[in-house]
Amino acid sequence: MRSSDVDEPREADMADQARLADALSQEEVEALIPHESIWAYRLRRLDIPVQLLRIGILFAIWALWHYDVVWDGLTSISFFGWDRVEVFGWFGWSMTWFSWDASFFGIQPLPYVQETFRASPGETWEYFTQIYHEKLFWKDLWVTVKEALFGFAIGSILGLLVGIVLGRFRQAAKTLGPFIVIINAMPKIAFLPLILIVYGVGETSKVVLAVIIVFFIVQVPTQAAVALVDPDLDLVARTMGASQRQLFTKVTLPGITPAVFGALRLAAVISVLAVVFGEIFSARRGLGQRLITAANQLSYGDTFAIVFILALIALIMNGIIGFSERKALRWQATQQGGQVISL
Amino acid sequence: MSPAVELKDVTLIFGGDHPKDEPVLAVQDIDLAIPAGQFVAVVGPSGCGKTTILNMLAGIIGPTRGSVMRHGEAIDGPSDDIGYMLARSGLSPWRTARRNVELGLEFRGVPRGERRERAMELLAKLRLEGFADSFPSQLSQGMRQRVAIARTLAIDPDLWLMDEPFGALDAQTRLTVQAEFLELWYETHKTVIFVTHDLEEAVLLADRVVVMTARPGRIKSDTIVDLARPRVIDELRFDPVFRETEHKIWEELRGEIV
Ligand SMILES: Nc1ncnc2c1ncn2[C@@H]1O[C@H](COP(=O)(O)OP(=O)(O)OP(=O)(O)O)[C@@H](O)[C@H]1O
Ligand SMILES: [Mg+2]
Repeated sequence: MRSSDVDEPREADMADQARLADALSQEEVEALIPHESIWAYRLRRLDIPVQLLRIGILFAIWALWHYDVVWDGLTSISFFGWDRVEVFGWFGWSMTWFSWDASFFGIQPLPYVQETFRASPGETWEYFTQIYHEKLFWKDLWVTVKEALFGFAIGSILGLLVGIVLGRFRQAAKTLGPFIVIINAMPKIAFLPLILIVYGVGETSKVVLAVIIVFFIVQVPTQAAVALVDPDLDLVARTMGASQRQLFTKVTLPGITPAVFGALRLAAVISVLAVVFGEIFSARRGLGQRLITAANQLSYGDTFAIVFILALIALIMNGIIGFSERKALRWQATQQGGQVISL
Repeated sequence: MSPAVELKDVTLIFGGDHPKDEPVLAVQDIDLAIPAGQFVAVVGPSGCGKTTILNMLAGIIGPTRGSVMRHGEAIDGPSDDIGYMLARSGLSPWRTARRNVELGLEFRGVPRGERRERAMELLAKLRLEGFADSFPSQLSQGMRQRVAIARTLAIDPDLWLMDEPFGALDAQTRLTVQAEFLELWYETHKTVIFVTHDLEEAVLLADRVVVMTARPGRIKSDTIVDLARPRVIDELRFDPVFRETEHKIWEELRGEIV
């Protein structure tokens, strides 16, 4: 900036400046924009229409369940006309209808469920009120949580390590790649009978199954993420004389973090799935075992309740990961498209 | 004394990996000696090998023939007394502006407090002190470029390699950033190799302008810019010596571009 311009404006400039208005002051700017109280802001962020819609949908689901609509199913597709059929028995309409059997290639997508196999919301809720006093339930819960956590932790750590090593060392990836692809292509659940023989019906076998499944869920995206770290960042760091170790801790590791968190979230849900499947198949204790026992005793209210509890476990694990993700990836929230999925 | 930077008879061929790929002769028979403290601008048509030359000096690639030396010694890999600024700012998105500037100092194991101080000092010089805690995604293009300048200079390099550092900036922003950059350089007087597409920028900033031919890149002309320092670039634009020098170099360059 040349000082002469500021100190001695020419006359023509002064005439220009006379017409140039002063910049608006902070108060004037604020007077121009509509003001919103903090409560109005919070209300707007709460998004009442969406919340009402959510409650409405929840209520509709409950109603469909409570009034047996889901159980009665849709066994025929009918039009006003000639025949007499009750559609959605709950409504109890008995008009004259023309109807077809609602099946496609011999399969009824929404079949009628017999009374014996039904469970009402009331029965499901009852289970929740009972378990509080039941020691064995808490023991089962603990077994399942423990298995899922171990499966998740061991599988994730192994997946991360192998993913990073294969991502960084091309020779290793080239050599081992085909084997990993082949093993990954196998339906891992099919290993369960073998796992049960080798590790017994105890908790270890469930952990092993979860580890195998979680491993690939983490390893594959981690390896891909290592290869996708911005090459400019790598170049910049290398020209500044970064050692291999520094390149890893200051470029590769932070670069793959978003992808790794995405994989971990999925792994958390899948680890619960894996151990429950293992328990349903064969186990001494665990919620999966409890679920299949309840189903065998036709206590379907109990099975529903257990499913909800399992979902809760997965949600809590997912939530904890999501929380650390938001902490670790604060920088990403400042970017568009880097939104973290949340409730 | 041997020059700070010397390219002797340097030829570089990019060979395709596949036997049937055709090799690309990028630069050929480059001879260039730069004494310590000189500010050299390199201009030339796109694809003539300017970035390739910087990459050789940065120790990322080696020449196919000839030798690339610093102070008489062949370059055999990256070195931490070279500051290399890429055309793209290449900032780490997970680091704030300040932590980006600190990157090179972290590699050297400079203690936290000292790092911070040095980074803040540079950010202040580039008028970014108010944005030290912003992430790159929260900065404008020109601000990011200034952070990249600060990062390049934070390690106090002996040799500054700048690859079209202001190419992505609009004309007005470029003017301010150029002035700031020139001031930073004037304080230290380190050796600079400054690649640019903008001939005016080359003449305004540099002591010497090297024009390269179209690929394969060879040195077409080498002109000393006889303008006094310190320079006030927005005034210099109207200086007759500047006009004349720019015109002369433009004549050289025009033959390569057409
Ligand atoms: N990695 C590479 N592999 C093969 N050829 C390359 C490679 N890098 C550059 N080249 C070739 O070498 C030549 C010089 O490239 P270079 O990037 O040095 O040009 P430049 O002068 O920097 O161009 P610009 O001004 O457009 O940045 C180009 O013709 C390009 O095709
Ligand atoms: Mg280039």
